Amino acid sequence: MGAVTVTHHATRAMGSALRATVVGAQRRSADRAWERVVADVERSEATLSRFRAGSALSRLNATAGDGSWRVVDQRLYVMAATAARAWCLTGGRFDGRVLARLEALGEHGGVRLPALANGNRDPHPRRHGSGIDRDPWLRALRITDPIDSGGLGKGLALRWAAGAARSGLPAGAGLLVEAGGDIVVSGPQPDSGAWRIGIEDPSGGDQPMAVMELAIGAIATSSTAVRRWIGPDGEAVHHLIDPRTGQPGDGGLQAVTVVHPDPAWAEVWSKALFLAGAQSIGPEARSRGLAAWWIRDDGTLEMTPAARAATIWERPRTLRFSA
Amino acid sequence: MAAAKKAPLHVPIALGVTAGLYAISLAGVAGLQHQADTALAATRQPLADAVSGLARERASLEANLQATVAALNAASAAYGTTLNGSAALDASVVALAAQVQAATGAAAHVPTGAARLPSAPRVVTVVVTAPSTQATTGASGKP
Repeated sequence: MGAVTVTHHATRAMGSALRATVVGAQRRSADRAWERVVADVERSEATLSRFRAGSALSRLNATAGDGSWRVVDQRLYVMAATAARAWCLTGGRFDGRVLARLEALGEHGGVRLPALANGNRDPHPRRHGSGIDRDPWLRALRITDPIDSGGLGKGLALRWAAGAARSGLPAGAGLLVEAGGDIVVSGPQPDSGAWRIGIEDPSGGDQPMAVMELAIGAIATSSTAVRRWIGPDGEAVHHLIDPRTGQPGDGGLQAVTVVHPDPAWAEVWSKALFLAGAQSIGPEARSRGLAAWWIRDDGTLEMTPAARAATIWERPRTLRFSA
Repeated sequence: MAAAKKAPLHVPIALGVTAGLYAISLAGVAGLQHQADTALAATRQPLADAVSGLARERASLEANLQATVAALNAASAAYGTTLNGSAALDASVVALAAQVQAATGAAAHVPTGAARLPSAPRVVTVVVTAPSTQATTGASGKP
């Protein structure tokens, strides 16, 4: 009986590193699965990226606030419907309309938002509802403000890409797909058993904060470690905007990691729990039964009971003694 | 013979009438005396009641006084016991002082600087290497 075949692939997509590991499949099957991953991610990016002027999302955002309905791509419709659902479930903490606020704070790189007809775009929309009207029969959308697919778009892209890859792999093969810190796993890992996933230290360093075991599911992390810049007021800001205040979330947390069966919802809950803040994240995550890890501003790692059950290693703490 | 001289009849009658008048007068005087005695007894009754109450209060006061005396005796006995304990404590303190003095004297003979103990570390870091992982989750959108 020969050794288990493990195939690694890597490239760049969605502005991040895209990696895949296939276990227990012939090289040809693994290559075919990788090709499907790349093609599927490209399709998602072409539809959901706000960094491409010709994407379906950019075209939809151009109609924001004009009251018109627009028949959209299936993936964009799913993204909008998921965003609207996430807005409801998170009490408004997940809101794609923070895009205008991000731009007002100086985060550029995406397609410049068009001015509204009256030239008075509100950079901090706090209207009632998600601002996304849907017509499922026509698969049409009408939005009040430009929306950002953000992490949700990446989570959905991972969902679809992993599904496409699995459809080309033999039953029992293991698969890991990773894009910019979001991970989807299924099947056996190279050493047999569950996949071992590290949680990055947001303050740097090679050693993870903790290591978990996950047999199947998805992991996403929201962190202030990246996408930080100096805002127009000269203060450091980051991309995790709290829709309730219009300002970067400042709840005493550096990073939140969530495990969920679906990568899109792992993204939603990691961001919503980050914005819940250090005081509320524990009770909310426990009440929802989520496996969540969070790192406070002082570097302390905490987790829910479900996360504790999945954690196999935790970075030892430095003990300090006073004289 | 001379005829027997008969006593006059009015004499006994007079005696009887006199005795009757006397009896009536005596009865009247006795009745008046009884009324006077009853009135006097009624007048003196509150005074008698007050005297009885005073007697009872005195008995109660006497009982309290006896109880107080008993308590004082008990407190006195306890104080005596405490005094005995204090005396024993004083003796122990004196003995301890003697031992401390002896120990201090012995310490003075210990050479200084001959034996240096290593200083205790104030920061302890336990280095444990993380197990190998297949991937690491980090900031969403990490390039």
